Amino acid sequence: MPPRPLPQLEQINAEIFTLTYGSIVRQLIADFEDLDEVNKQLDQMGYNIGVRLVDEFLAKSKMGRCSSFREAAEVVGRQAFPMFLNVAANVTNWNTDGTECSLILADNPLADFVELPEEYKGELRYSGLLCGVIRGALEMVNMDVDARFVQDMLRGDEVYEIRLRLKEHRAEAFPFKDDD
Amino acid sequence: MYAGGPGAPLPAVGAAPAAAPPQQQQQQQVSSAAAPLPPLPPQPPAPSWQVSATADPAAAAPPPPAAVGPLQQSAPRQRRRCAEVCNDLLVAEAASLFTQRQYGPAAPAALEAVGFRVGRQLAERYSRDKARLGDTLEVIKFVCKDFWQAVFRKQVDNLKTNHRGIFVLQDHSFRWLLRLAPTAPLADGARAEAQARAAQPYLHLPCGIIRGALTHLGVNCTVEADARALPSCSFTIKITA
Repeated sequence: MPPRPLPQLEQINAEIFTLTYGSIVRQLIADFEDLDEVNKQLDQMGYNIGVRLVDEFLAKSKMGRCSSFREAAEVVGRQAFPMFLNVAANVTNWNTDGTECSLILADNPLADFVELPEEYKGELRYSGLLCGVIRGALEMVNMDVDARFVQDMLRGDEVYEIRLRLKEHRAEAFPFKDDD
Repeated sequence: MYAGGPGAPLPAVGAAPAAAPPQQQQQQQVSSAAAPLPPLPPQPPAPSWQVSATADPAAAAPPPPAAVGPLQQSAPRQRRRCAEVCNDLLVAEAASLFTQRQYGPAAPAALEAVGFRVGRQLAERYSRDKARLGDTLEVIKFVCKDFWQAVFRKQVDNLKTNHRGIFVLQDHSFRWLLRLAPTAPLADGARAEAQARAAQPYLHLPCGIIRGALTHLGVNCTVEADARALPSCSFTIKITA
């Protein structure tokens, strides 16, 4: 895919975003007292953001249609991440039939200023929001995916690695019915 | 209640300049003031915090491993930026999440608490290179100018006080509500009420941020927002003992 210039979106100081997210996570932990439930909420929140963020992306990037999951993953890592968070993700570790890959992030704005206490390192998916965002955004372009963190620097790994698995690449169905 | 009675207009304080050039200058001032990240955490994390926040740049951005391309190599000491839409959507989602979830404290309280922590941390960062802020009015002016500029991307347009502990901050186009969809045409009064109701869930968080900042700078207060004239929004700060 030829590199194209990224559209310039309105920018803010990322710490406002980062600290707000951190504060939300803390509030959820305090409210739910169950890290599984917190992970679920973060993922759901990400999903809701993703379904809206994909509109922003398509409108601003003027991208054409992605023909394959492989291409879509590259767009997510190479264009969507830089456009919104100013970090890029490398797409690697493809499986042979091209349905699974890894997004590798060396740097994660959500995790700035964050240290997880020991008791949360096992279960809490602190940056799980990102997985939800990817899942929600790709679902809007007809790709049902699983996204989960398999490496997380907050838990002592070398990099952030999000594993993507394509579950279904739906054909576009026309015409849409009103009650769909 | 303040002395002038409920109907009397509050006298303006010469705090929020309307002229454009100072704003430009202000922006530079603000960004240069906090540009170099300090090697020490500016805020001592309270031991009871569950996800402790420190500002150690080394922890924030470790050296990228060799497997990663040059795109990712961000300078750890540079001020990080991100797209505004990310924060807009996050804040909107937070409002709906806390409104819908079934248990825990009520949504306004939870969102206020979220904002309160953010406000404290941001106030710490943005006031780091400022001279000591003396009295309450100086703190309020700092929040109206530097803090508002950094967080809401413009300064407060109008600041009024009754000199008895009530301050009204008015922002004629409050950034965080600019994307709120306008309500259907209604009669004037009803429309204002409908708008205010629609905006309410999204105002707890900014109120918390403002209260957090003021509290952190030594001004204990309550903050209430009024969005009956969108996109204009006013925040009433009541100083408490």
